[in-house]
Amino acid sequence: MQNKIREFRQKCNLTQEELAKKVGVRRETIVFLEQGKYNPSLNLAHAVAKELKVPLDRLFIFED
Amino acid sequence: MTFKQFRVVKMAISAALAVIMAQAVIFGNYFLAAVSVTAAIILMLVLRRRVREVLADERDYELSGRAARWTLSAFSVLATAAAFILFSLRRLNPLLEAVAYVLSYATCALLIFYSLLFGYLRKSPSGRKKLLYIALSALLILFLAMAGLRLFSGDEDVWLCQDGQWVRHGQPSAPMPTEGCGEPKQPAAVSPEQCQAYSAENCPAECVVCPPCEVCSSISCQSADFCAKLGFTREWHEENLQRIAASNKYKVDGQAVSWEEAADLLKICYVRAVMQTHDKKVTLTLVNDIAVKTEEPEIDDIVKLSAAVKDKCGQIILGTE
Repeated sequence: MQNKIREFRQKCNLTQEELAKKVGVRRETIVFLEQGKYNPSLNLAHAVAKELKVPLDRLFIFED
Repeated sequence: MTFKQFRVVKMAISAALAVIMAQAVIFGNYFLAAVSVTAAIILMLVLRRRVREVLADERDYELSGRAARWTLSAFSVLATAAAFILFSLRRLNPLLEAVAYVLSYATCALLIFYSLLFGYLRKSPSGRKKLLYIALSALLILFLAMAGLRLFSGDEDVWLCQDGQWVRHGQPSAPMPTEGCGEPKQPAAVSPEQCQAYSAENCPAECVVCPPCEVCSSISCQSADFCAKLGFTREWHEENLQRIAASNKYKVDGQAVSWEEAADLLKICYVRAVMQTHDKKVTLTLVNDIAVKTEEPEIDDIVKLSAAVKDKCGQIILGTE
């Protein structure tokens, strides 16, 4: 699963630290999320998408 | 408080707790150990609440779950293998069998607890099922405690020495002991060079407890020749212990003691001065300046006794009516 978290986060002018604080996780989790090394829970994915104001299916790209 | 500050404080508390626990174990003060652990837990909980940042998130929980599974698997496999090896070597040292049992029981207990907890979390039971799980867990803990007690009580499945013969009790896994039953065990002779390997508490009969040098305050197990060269006899340590006991026992002036006790005080050089009256009443002034009273069986018995210990204890001040 790939994602565009970094791209949308930069569009929103948010640092990793700020996004982490807003969605209630540690900064390292955002780092791993952006690198595609961690698959978030549905709750976290939803929180990130909501914070970046992007629909889930645009933020996360599932490879069939 | 930031997460970094919390981590530093957590490390400091852990280090302090380790030091306190070590001291508590050394001095056998288990109350201090319990209090310090409780205080550390409360302090950590209070500090944790003051941290505004996220301490652990879903990724940490996922990783800790994975790490716990790997640890469980690795421990089970390694402990089982180690238990088998130790069982096979039990003829070399019977203690290895006990260690193997502890490892086996610990592994079984760990796996059973894990299975129960996993089942509980997977099904998320409620109501009666929840109670059933709790009851099962309590039963399991009870069973393990009883099994552990039976294992370590030492009176089951052993060879007993009865009327000069080894008698099987239960089903001992070890073969019948080869050494004689009922015969006193001959302790292995200890050479003078080996004395220092022992502590003052378990110093063998071949060695003597004395300070390693005349001005040293610590005592240790030494060879008899070594102590004799410094002027310490075999009785020095025992009498030293008796003097310490006497200093704790006699703290009140005028305390009455038996004649035998008075004689013992003289023999361990704990008497500084003696006063005798015509009616055979004797007052002993101890080295801690406490005066105790006794009655001698015959007149001048105390004078004779003082003279007998003069070489060992030096001149004792004598007074008489």
